Amino acid sequence: MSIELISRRGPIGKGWHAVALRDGAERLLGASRVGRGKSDARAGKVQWLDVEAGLARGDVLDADGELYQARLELPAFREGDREAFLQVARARPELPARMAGGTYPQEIEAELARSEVSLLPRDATELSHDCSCLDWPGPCRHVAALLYVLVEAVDEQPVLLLTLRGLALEDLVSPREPATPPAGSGADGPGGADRADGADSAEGAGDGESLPPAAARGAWDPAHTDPAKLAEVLGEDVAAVIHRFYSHPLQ
Amino acid sequence: MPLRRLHLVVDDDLGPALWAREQTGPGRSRALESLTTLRGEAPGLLGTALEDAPDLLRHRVRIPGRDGDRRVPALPLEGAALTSFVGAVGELLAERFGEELHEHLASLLADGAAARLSDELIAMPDLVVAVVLDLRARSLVEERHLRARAVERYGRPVMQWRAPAQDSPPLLHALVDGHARQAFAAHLRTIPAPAEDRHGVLWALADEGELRADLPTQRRITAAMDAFVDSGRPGVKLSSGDSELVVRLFEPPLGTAWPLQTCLREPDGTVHPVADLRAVGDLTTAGAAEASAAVMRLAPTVRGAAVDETGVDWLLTTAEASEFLSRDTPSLEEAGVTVLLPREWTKQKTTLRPQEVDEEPGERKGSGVGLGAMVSFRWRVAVGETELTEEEMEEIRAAQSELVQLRGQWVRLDASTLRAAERFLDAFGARTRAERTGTAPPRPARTAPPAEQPPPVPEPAEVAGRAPWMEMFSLILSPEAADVDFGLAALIAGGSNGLARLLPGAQGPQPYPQPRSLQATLRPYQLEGVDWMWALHRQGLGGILADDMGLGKTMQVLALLCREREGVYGQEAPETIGPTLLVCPMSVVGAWQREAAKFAPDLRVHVHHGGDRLRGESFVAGTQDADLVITTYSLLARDLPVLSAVPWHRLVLDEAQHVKTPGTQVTRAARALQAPHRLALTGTPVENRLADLHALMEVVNPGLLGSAASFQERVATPIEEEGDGGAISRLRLITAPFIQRRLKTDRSIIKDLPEKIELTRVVNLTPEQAGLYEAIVQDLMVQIDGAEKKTRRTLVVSAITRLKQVCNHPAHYLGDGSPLVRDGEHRSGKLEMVDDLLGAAFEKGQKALLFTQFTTFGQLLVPYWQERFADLGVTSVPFLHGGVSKRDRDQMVAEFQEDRDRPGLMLLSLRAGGTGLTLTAANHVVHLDRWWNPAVENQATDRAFRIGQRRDVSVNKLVSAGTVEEKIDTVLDDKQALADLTVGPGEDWLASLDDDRLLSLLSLDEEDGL
Repeated sequence: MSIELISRRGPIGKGWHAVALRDGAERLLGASRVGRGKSDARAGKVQWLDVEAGLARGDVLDADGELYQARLELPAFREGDREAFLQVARARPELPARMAGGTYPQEIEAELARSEVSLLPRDATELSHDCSCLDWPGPCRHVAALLYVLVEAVDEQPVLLLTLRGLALEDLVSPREPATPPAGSGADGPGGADRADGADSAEGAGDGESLPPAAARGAWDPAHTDPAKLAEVLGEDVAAVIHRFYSHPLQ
Repeated sequence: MPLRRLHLVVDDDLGPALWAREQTGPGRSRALESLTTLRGEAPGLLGTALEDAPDLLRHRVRIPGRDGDRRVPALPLEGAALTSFVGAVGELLAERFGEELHEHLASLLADGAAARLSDELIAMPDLVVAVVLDLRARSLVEERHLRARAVERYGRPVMQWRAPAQDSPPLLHALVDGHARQAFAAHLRTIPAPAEDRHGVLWALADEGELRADLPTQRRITAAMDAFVDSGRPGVKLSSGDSELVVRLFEPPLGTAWPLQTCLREPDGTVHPVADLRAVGDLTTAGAAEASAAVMRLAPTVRGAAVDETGVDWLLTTAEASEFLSRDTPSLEEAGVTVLLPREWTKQKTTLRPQEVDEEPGERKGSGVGLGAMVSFRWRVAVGETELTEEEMEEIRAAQSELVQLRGQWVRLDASTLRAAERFLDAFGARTRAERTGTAPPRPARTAPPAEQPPPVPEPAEVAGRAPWMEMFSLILSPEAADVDFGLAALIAGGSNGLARLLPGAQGPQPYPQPRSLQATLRPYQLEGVDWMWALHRQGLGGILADDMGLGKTMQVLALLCREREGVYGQEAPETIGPTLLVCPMSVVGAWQREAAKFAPDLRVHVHHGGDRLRGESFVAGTQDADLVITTYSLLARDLPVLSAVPWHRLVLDEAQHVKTPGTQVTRAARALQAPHRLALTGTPVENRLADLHALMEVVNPGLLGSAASFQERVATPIEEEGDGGAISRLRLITAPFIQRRLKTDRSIIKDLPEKIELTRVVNLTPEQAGLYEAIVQDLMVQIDGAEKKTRRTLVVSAITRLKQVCNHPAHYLGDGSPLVRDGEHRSGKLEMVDDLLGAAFEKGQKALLFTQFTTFGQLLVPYWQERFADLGVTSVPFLHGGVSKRDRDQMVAEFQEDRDRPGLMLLSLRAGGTGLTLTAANHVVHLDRWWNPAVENQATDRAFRIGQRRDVSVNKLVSAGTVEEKIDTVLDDKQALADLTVGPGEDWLASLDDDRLLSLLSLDEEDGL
């Protein structure tokens, strides 16, 4: 299982946002790693890519036959930046659809620039890297290969940029007014004498309202669960065992 | 002993952790470094819960305090350690509060207050909260209201149980994890271990078992668990992935923009806008965005359009909407996206309406008669029901867009149809020196001025011109008229003279009373048929009388002969009228003879048939005294020389499908015979192809429809292959005066014929049948692999025959003489169904006709039924097939018809039983197997459903579920629709299908099959 790049020759990445990510990162890599990384990426050395908040990583197959886990880090937005970004993004209701469709409108970045925020790495120093190989301090060829896989992934799914920054498409839509007012909201505000050293566990301790509206509305019934949803990943037998657990709740 | 306060915090790194502080003096306390004393002095339960914990608290958690954060020693708790500790605290509180535990907890929670566990021990508010959460976690686990995910913890992949809501407090998640783990471990102990657990998920869910999964696999496991849990919610579960994408276009409110909405269709067919689904949480933002993005990918126009406030829908300008309709809609539909348009918004066409058509009265000699007569046509151009003015046509031309606004209504217009109409009018003008007006010409006199002023209707543009009929007809069939749609409904003026009376919407033929010498009372539609033939006759034109079988075509022809010998008011009968030659199949010669003798005894009838028929001079002489000479198709060709020697007054071809094949001897002979008036009679005007209609028309009105090749190219092919409405309208306009077709199902035609109830009965195969069926299909697919076209055709056709046999009965296919019913169990779903149908009919003393195309099958059934239904009085089952002599046949029919109120059953082979028989004693018709030709099946059905039938007739067509029979039945339905348009496609398509489609047509759909 390895990742096949679409690009066979020339620069990798087509959309402006992918190009911007690549250019920023190539400055980090340095010229010698660029060529190596590209050819490794094209050779399918990167086994998988996983993107989460602040971190993209993947296993990269080395010439020595070992798998090394390379990591590229782009810090998730901190509170202020996050607010600034969402303010710009939420003024454009079509943004989720655009991003789901593979484009990241350049005007957004222009607007963000006014608050010195960027979804992309602002410069090479915002990116950092790490790898389980011995080529320390790097950047090693594994990181370079991972970068090109990431560039192509981001090219197709700009949403991954959001993921890196700790955001989801959900966040881009202005929060809607709650579908049902929380029933037990009276119990929700803890506030009391011991609050100061009561740490953080008190918040949200009221029960029912923390369920999403969907779950609160439909009558979820474990007996209705469909083991086929598990079978593909876990195998039929395991799926059956788990399904049996769900379908025989204790009363 | 000092007072101790217990805290439970959730640390970012450690997770839930216990720390405690001990009062060292008034207002002073210190955090405990070791658990030893606490464990020793705490109430028993609590002590037990902490038994396994290390003495020394090695971990530190960060606690926000008055002077900034400080770090205190703590005990991280997870899994069973966490649940048993919190559980112990809960037990202590329960002991203290007893029955009122819940009320006390609620008030503690509301106040954010601490609770005393014993004299020296206080549970701080965070621990009280933990107790409440623990109760909730327990019930979640009991209800199995749980999620699970794969995560990395300290660099190691593990499984974690979670509360169902992502944003639940971390402590709740941790407590749920602890309880669920124990419950799941117990679950695993009760069941046998599965053979394989490739990722080690089960023990990772139960205890510290290792999860073998790299990061992408962890993500997949989590996604699978989420999907599994979410599947437990009934009702709407939409995702943009597995729901059908729909785009809906709305008309602009008040001349603004055209809203275009991204929607999803649920399996039950309801369509929801994704914006709404997202608002109620049935669709994630990502799902909604994905759906909207899919629309943009497929519809380039939409990409540049304005987005509305939802972010997933658009507001199109009129130009964009038009562009969307013409350019994007096809690619969307091709990609499986449904495009919903306002109202019944089919693409409108421009139609050309013959506003006024009339033949000019005048010279009725030589070339001025019939098709040579001059006719004036006045046309209007209409879109839907709106007739266009010159200005409106100009606007449409200028708009260059699919969307035009006509009199305040948005209309989706196929602009090419307007161009086609104009092209035709230009050609019409060139040939007829037409004049084009924007103002109305003087209308035919209105009797009275309108009582009140009607709303002003814009004056439509008109083009008028005159030419001989033949010229008009050839223009309508010319390439200039290609793509023109003729609206036929609205002939408002004219239609009062000559052939123009016979156009659709015109006055119809001049009515006359029924002939006195006819010994029967004509039904109104029959009299109309006589008037129609009379009118054509007067014009020297031929016609096709294509009434459904049983409507009395014979009677109408006899009446026509009577009338011309009587004369009508204003038209004296001439002294002598030549003989009419009637050609028919041998089987109905007798019927003609008898009916003529019975209803028109004044007519002198001569039958030219048999070895002793008159020949040569004596025949010619003999016909001079006859009014009606009846002969057969076989003699028509053989005796052509002698038949040609007679100056016939009229040629009538009964069952005229015999002359539908050009080039055969019979057809050539029919065309060669000279007669001023020609009639073709048929119950099925175009059994298979429009080419047949052309061939018939060539016999009765040579040249009317142009050459066979040009007719095929300009009319037949467009209709048969594309269902071209324009071509149908052109054909109708030309042929309508010359074809009379009334349907038995038309209640206005026959009010006294009972109902015909047609049912297609879908029956299941027995397992035995299904097994045989599948074996044949597999065998075929192996054989045709790589076979030559011709071989392939043979293989396919013979396989279909075998499949039909299996559907009938295993014994029919196997031919092994095995019993039809084995140990009282039916081996064929069909036979079982038929037995029931027959039993029910016989109980009521009714009779049934059964049709099969397989004589061998019939022979199996006869003895079976004779035995089975003997109790009900059916001891003999006549079987009428091709091998039965005419005498025996007549005998069977006579006996069957005899006693109407006794049960009875006749089996007929479809072909033999297709024509000429009257079996109205039966009121049940069963088609055991399908012929796949509606015309043939309907003919068979009509044995029972014809005049003389007094009961409602029920027709059951048997079809085996999931088999080729059922699949072709669907195709048959479409073909029936075609036949109603007097069109029918060829049948060669079966063998010419590619392998995949053939396989899908033939193979057994399992879920239906058994």
